[in-house]
Parts: sequence; structure tokens; C-alpha cells
Amino acid sequence: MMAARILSLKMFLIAGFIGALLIPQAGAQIDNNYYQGKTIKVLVSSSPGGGTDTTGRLVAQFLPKFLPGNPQTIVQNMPGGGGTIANNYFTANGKADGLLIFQDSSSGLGNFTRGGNRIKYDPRKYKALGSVTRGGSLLMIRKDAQSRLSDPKAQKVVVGDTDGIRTWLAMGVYGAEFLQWNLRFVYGYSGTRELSLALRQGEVDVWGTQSAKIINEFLKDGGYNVLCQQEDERRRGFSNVPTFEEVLGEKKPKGVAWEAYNAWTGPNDIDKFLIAPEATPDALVALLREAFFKMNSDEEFKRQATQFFGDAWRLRNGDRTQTMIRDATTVSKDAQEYLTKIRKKYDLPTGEQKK
Amino acid sequence: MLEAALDGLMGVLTLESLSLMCLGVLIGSVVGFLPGIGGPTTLAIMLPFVVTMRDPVAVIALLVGMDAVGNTASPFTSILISVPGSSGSQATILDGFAMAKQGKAARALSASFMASLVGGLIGPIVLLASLPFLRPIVLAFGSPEFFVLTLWGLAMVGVLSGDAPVKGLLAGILGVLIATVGLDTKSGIERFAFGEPYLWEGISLILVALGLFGIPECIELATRKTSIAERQELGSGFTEGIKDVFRHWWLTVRSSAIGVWVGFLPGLGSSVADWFAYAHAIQTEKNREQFGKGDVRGVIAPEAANNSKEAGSYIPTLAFGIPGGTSTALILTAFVAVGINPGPEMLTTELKLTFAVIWTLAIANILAVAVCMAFAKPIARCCFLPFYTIVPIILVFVIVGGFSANFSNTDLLMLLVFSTLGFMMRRHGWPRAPLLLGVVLGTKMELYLWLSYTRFGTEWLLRPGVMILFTLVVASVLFPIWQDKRRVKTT
Repeated sequence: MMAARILSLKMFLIAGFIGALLIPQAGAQIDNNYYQGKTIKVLVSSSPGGGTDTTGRLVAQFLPKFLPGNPQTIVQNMPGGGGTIANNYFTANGKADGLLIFQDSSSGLGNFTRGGNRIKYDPRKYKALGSVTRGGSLLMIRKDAQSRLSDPKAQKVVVGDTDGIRTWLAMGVYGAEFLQWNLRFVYGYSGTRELSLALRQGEVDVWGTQSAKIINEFLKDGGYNVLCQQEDERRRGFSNVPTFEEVLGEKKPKGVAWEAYNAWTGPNDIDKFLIAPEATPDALVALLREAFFKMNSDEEFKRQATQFFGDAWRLRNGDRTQTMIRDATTVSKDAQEYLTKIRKKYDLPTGEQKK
Repeated sequence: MLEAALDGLMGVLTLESLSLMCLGVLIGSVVGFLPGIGGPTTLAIMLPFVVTMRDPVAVIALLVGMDAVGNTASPFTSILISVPGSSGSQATILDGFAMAKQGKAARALSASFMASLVGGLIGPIVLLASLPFLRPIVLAFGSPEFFVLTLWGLAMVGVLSGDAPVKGLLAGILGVLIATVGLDTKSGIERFAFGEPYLWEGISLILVALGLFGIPECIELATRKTSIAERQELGSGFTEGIKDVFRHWWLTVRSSAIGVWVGFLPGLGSSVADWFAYAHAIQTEKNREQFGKGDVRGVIAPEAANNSKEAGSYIPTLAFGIPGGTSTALILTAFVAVGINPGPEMLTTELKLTFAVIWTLAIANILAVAVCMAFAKPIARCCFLPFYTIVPIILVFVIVGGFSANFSNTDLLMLLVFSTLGFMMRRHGWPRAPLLLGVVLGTKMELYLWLSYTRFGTEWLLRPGVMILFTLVVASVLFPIWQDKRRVKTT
């Protein structure tokens, strides 16, 4: 009996040892054939068709070309809650084997900053592999609603959004607060396509996006103006559009209010980022980061990215993305409280919602 | 316009485009035949290959061809084994499987394919005819109008409940409640998910459909110890089914129109067209006592609608670049990658490409129906297989289809839950269709009610579109009741 127990303990230890050898360890060399015959699942935090999905599909298409072993990839869309559902799922199910990577967007970071009991993830712990940025957000307005913007007696101009957390929304909220823009906020739209339709129908009057392609389509249609843009500097192709800071002028808030604005809009710079789970070994992260950035050298990748995002897009490496995620999600308590207060004031969801 | 139409046709009829269209039709038909594997999944797999192609017409031929026929082959499993091949063929089960049990599988199949063909041809014709009016029509429907449309759908619970209206209503409410399970997509708040990550995304419609209909029928077959069909002959049913479509030509046309209508409204989703058409048939046809018991009109209506819907969903896609559903969203991604930019140009300088889409929709449907017709008779013979052969086959279809919902073991657990529910409902005379309809419409209903209220307050009730649609909803509910009362009076 005792011998049998010792034997089973021995077998357990051996199995554990073999298992430990099989899982790639931090700092260890990754076999060049590690990905051969394997499939990487690219989890996407949005429904098919929008910018996050398009980026995820580009990654799924081109990343394997630059990974030794040229693995297969599949894309799984997990929309909802401004990325919360996918982030929670990724945190709960992501393993350290480099076979599940996650294409998220600034909304996931914004939701984390907003906080609340449904946030079960911490983006600062993820291993960033890189990001695709398309330039700052631009705020569009229907021409027939523009005169109402500065008339407090007129019917309110309606701003439409998916989850009430998008980074461009900060321009609207701060515009209402400091420029007395006559705005009202409606959120709940399923995604880019529904918002595009709502703007065309006049169900919403204001909407923001980073996609130059979408903006240009609206401008070509006529009936729409670009109110302002979020970047510190004016975007190429939109040099006639003032930045939000320029629009604010002397009314630009100071202190904690502006810190809160930067906390809200910070993730905007990161835009669409690709991540691996927290425990992914460094060697595997390095491999994935290298492959991600090498996509930049692929002519077909560049062609397709330009078709989708316009010519302002660029790739950012994993190290830089990691730092930016950390910076964008580290918010002082005062700024956090200010954000909650101002969001409540404009009927936007805060992190204090109860189950 | 004629020149563009001819250019579009010539582009589609090149050897390369035609070969790719045949490939697309083949893949689309196989995917439609297999329960659980949806068209979007296949399109997503094809996307990386397609975006490297240079000829836009070839891309249209492959992807639109594949998408157009996604519902054509799905009646095979809906009719023969009570398992929906795709989400667009759920309503077909109600009368299709009943016909199979009566030994009329061949007739049901040929009727469904012919209806699919007619629907698949009416769709592109409507698309063509509506080119000048595309934009105003699409722009007329906002969140309030969508909400009333979902209400209209839910009002059909009454006609799907047969002799048990109260049970039907309760089943419909249960369906709506099931649709609320998961994280609220607006705010991420958890509802009825009990902290389980599996439930965050909600319960898959395919699991509900497979559980409610697939397994209970297996249990019934196994306990009856017979084959699906009570009579061991195909008879002249095959040609009868084709004739049925022309006997009920007006129903076919109306159902096709409903399909196009549902398709072109981006936001109603792909799974409601067949239900709308089925309920419309019950509401408007005479002698409706046989609906649900093997009436061929219950096969014709949903099958005409689910094929014409595909053409309808290209209307907002081409006019605005706003896809009508998940499949068209993925096709749009491919379009943009190969340089097709949906928008006003598609109706002016790029009209040739719009016609390529229209021609592809029409030709792909003809090809798919020809293939399905060729296989209909031999496949229909599975109704004569003894229960010990057919039950394991159905179980494999149901389990594989269920597992493909999320590729999770929990899928099988959920399948078991809904199978038990379906079995109990069947045994105690509770209509199952209203529950499924509640799940289909629940999420949309909630979303559009929320948007209508937060955007317009209560003013949305006074929008002309809402009032017109609401009048139609009330009329569609009251008309059959009035008809019944009148019939009782005269007899």
C-alpha cells in the first residue's frame, strides 16, 4: 500500500516535471517549431465589421506569416459591454501558451478606468504585443443640427454612442460642460454600422470615430461637418479641422478636470491593441511582438490597412503599447471622482452601477 | 443602366467568376445543409483568401454566391429530421417535419426548393427595382420603427400558439426572458448569468432551436419504434411540391416580399424572416386548420422569405456601406479590401458592380436549387430508415450542431437543458415555436425600446412611421380573429 502511494507520488512528480518542461518558461528559448501545426485564436472585442474587427482580421491574416511554424489563425468575435465581456472572458480563460491573443480597443481601457463591479480584468497586467493607431477621433455633426449647438433654448443636439464610454465622447461632455454646448447623450447602439445609420437618419446628430474612411464618406455625402478633433496636432487630411483644445481656447479647464479629460481620452492614442495573457512567457511574447511589428514590412498588409483605415494609420510596437496602456489606465483618485461626477451629470453610465 | 446591367452580367459570366461562383454555391449549400455551422463562420474562414484577390467581380461571385444560397439547402434537415440547417429555416420545421412524418418528404423538399428559387429570384428583382429609392426607404426606419416591427413579430405568438393561446403567450414570455440572459450589451451588467463566463454572451439561438425540436423528436421516434415517415413511399410528391408553389403563387410572392423587407432593414437580424412569413401565411390564408400539421404552405412561406431576404440585406450594404447582418458585414470587409466602396457610387459610377451582385444572387440561386433538386429524392429516403438507424444520425447532427455554437462542453449541457424543456413542452401540449420566437426577438426588442425611449422620450409613439406600423400590427392581429368570427357566423 505504502509502496503504491510512493509510486503514485513519484509518477505525479514525473508527470509534473514533464508538464513543466512542455509549457514554455519565462526567458526560455522557444522552439522554432512551437507554432507549427497549431492554431492561434484571435479574440475580438467587437461584432464583425467595425474597426476593431477589421484590425483583428488583419492580424489573423498577416501575423502567422511572420511567426516560425506559420500557425493557423481563427477569429472569434465577442462583442458587448464596450469590450467588458471579451476582457473578462480573456482574463478568465487566457492560458500562457500563446494560442489565445486578444484584439481590444480603447473602450476596454476606458471601462477599466471607469471601474465597477463587473470589471474582472486589469489591462496593466496583459502583455501588449503592439497596436494599430489610426489618428485621433473626429467629432462629426449634422449640418442641420449645428445651429442648435450653441442655442440653449433650442432642442438638444443628440450625441449617439455604443456604451457611453468611448474616448471621443469626452469632447462632447467637456464641450457641454465648459463651452455650454447644447447636448444630450444617448447610448446603447450596437456598433459602427448602427451609429452610421442613426446619424444619416437624424436619430443622432453627433458621432465620433477615428476612421478617416468613414468620415470622408460622410463628408462626400454632404450634410455633415467635422466639429473638432482629439489629437494635440491636426491630423493629416483634416488640417482645416480645429483640435478640441483649440476649440476650448481660454475655457480649457485646469487641474483635476483636465487630468480627468486626459485620463478619459488617453486610451484613444493606443486605439486598437493586441495582447497576450498575463502569464505568457517572455520568450513567447518577444516572438509575437516581433511578428506583429514585422507586418509593417508587408506590402499587402500596408495596402489593406490603407484601404480600411485611410493613410494615417501606423503600427506601434509592443513595448511602447505596454507603457501607454499602463499610463492611460493609471488615474488619480481625484480624477476618477471627477470623471464619475461629470459622467453622472450627463446621464452616462458610471462605475457604480449595481448588478 | 442597360449597359451597366450587361457589363455586370459579362463580368459574372467569365470563366473565373463562374468557377468561383460554383465553388461559393457548393460551399454555401454544404454549410446550409449542416446544422450549427452558420454562413458567417464560413465567410470568416474565406476572408483571408478573398482579400488578396484583385478582381472585384470575382470576389462578388464567390462571396455573394456563397451567401445567397445559405438557406437553400437547409430545409433538408429541417424537413427530414426536425433539425434546422440554418437559423433561417426554423419555421420550416413546423409543417415540413409533419409532412415528412406523413410520407410527404419529397413533396415538402421540392416545394421548399422551388419556393427558395422563386424567393431567390424575386429578391434581386426587388433590389433592382428599388435602386432609385434605396436611400429614402432605408432612412425611414429608426429605432422606434424597428421596435414596432419586433412587436409585430411578437404578436405572431398568438398565431403560432394554435389551440393553446395562454400557453403560447407564456412560452413567448419565457423566450424573451431567455434572451435577456448574459451581460447587457449597453452597460455590461450581468443578468441571470450567475457569474458564469459561459452565459455572459447569452444563450445561443441554435442551442435553443436544436434542443426544443431535435432531441424531443428523437425521443418520440425511439419510443414509437418506427421510421420518420408513416408511409414507405415517395409517390408523386416531388412534382406535386413544385406545382404547390405555383398553386400558391400569391403566397410565394408575398412571402418573398416579406423576406426582402426584413433583409433590407439593418437591425432586424437574419432569423426573423422565416417566422414573419410563416405567421403571415397563417394570418392571411384560408383553411388554416392544417398549419402545423403538415400544410405545404407552411413550408413555402418561410423558404421563399429566407432566400429573398439575402437580396434585401444587400440594399443597405450597397447604398450606405451599412451591412444588413453579420454575413454582409464580413462581405463588406472583403469588398473594402478589394477596392469596392459601397455608397452612392454603387448607384452611379460603380453600377456595374451593383449589377454583378444582382446577377450573382440570381444565378447562384438557380445553381443551388438545381443541386438540391438533384439530391432531394435520394436524401428524402432517409425518412424510411428504421428508428435505430435514423435516431443516432439525428443525434450526431444535433450534438455536433450544438457543440459548434461555442465549441464548449457547456454547449452540450445547455443542449440537454433545452432538450428536456422541449420534451416536457411537447409532452404537455405547450407550443414550442413561440418560445423560439421570443428568443429570436427578445434582444432586439429590448434594445430598440431602450433607444426609442432614451432618444425620443414618449414622443416616438407619435412618429408617423410608428403609427402606420402599429396600425398594421393591430390589423394583423385582429384580422384573423374577425375572419374566424365571420366564418362561424356564416356556418
